Amino acid sequence: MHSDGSRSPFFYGWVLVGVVFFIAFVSTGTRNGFGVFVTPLEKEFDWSRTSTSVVFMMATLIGGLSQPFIGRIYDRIGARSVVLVSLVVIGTFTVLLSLTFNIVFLALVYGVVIAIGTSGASINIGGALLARWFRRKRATVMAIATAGSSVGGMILVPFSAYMMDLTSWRITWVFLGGIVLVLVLPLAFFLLRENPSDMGLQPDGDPEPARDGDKPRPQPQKSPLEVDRWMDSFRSMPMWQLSSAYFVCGFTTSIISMHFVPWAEDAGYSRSTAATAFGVLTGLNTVGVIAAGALGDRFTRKNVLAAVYWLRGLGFVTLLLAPMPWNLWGFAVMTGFSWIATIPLTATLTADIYGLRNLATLNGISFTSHQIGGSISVLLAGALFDLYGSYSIPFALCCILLLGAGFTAFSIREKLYSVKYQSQRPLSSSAPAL
Amino acid sequence: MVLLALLAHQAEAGHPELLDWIKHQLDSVVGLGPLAVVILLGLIMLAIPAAVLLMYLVQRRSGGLGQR
Repeated sequence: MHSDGSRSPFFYGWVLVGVVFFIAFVSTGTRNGFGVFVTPLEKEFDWSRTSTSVVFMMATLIGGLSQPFIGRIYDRIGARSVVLVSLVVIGTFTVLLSLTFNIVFLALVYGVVIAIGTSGASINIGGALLARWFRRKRATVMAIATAGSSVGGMILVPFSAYMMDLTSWRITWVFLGGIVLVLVLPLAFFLLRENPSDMGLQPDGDPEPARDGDKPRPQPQKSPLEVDRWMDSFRSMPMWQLSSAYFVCGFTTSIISMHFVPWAEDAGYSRSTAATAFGVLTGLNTVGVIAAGALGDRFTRKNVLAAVYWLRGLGFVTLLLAPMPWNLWGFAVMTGFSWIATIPLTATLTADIYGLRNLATLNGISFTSHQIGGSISVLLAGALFDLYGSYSIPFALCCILLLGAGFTAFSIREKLYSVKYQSQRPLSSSAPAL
Repeated sequence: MVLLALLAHQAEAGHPELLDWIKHQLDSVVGLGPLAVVILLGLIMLAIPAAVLLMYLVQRRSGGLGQR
């Protein structure tokens, strides 16, 4: 057995980070590419935008609502089965989308089957797996894996658009499904491992516990709130604090996805300037999430999470109060950095406080709360705009909610409940894992 | 259209008009044909599993995979 960890230049966990990154890259990129297919489908079948929108809404809702259930399956049978089956489903049914002939077919295949498959290959599942392999760098590795979804959108969406220029929407779907089946599935099949102990390794690549005669190495303790049944997590405050803050995360990002460009046009910006600012916002996601992950491992995680919510809140304040063009660009930069930075911090705090046994279920529940916040905000902002002819009220509401979410995250008693602070010194962040 | 942008910033589909606009911007800035862009993006995509496999092989050769 490899016992001292010194001969290997890399801990195997980093291979898994690469695999989870690539799974997120392809599964999210394939899914995000749907927007590219909307116009050609509408032209070929004479569908309305409402029809294709309903299909996407179905996919989003079913994907969100299925997360806790898929998470429960993961917690019972492990990552390999869930991820591999999900990849087979995503790949096969994406190929089958090339046979689309009516809206019901599209709704069933994309809106139901692929949506559920995507839940099984989501970052909630990948993050729960990585949490078993890393303790000290948990937030960093979850952030890297989360960045995979953002990078995947940036690469696969234009890839789909240009592939469609070269071929057709049917062949493009075959290509996207083929990427999942030919590139991702074999990689996951050969390299995914459930636990470091399966390979005779310790989390973070730490040396094995000392043998008799040596000074005993302190072992990590359990968190005081670690639960055997996922329902029990709702008997303590942190789960409510994390889920409610995540609700605000969904509320304040979905409202921007839908209403940012219309707001900018109302404020006097051209459509192309608004779209460029939105592009800047999207491009900063990756930088923001990785920075947040690294900070989350170095400092108290709940403080970093609170700072992320407050930064986004400051972005909304800038949007409402700063003069042109500072309101547009200031908002794009501040919100861009915070856009997906909440994901690894929320997942890591959940793992640290409630343990790994039910982590995917709990992450799935938080994610559902995020999705509910998102759906409410988009509809509410539209209704308020129709009523008052301005986005000031919904955006001011975002400021208030983000201020509250920041305080909610800040008030989590991490030092009391997190396993990070139950451990002894040798597990502090000073020791390198590589 | 309202429904299209619903939910999940980490899983949202691109807005069709926005994607179209971004593609036109890319066309004007990069100036490559579709085939060149597809090959370029395809190579970037292939680089990720290649890097992961390389990392795995380096680890395997150095005996860092444990024995079980």
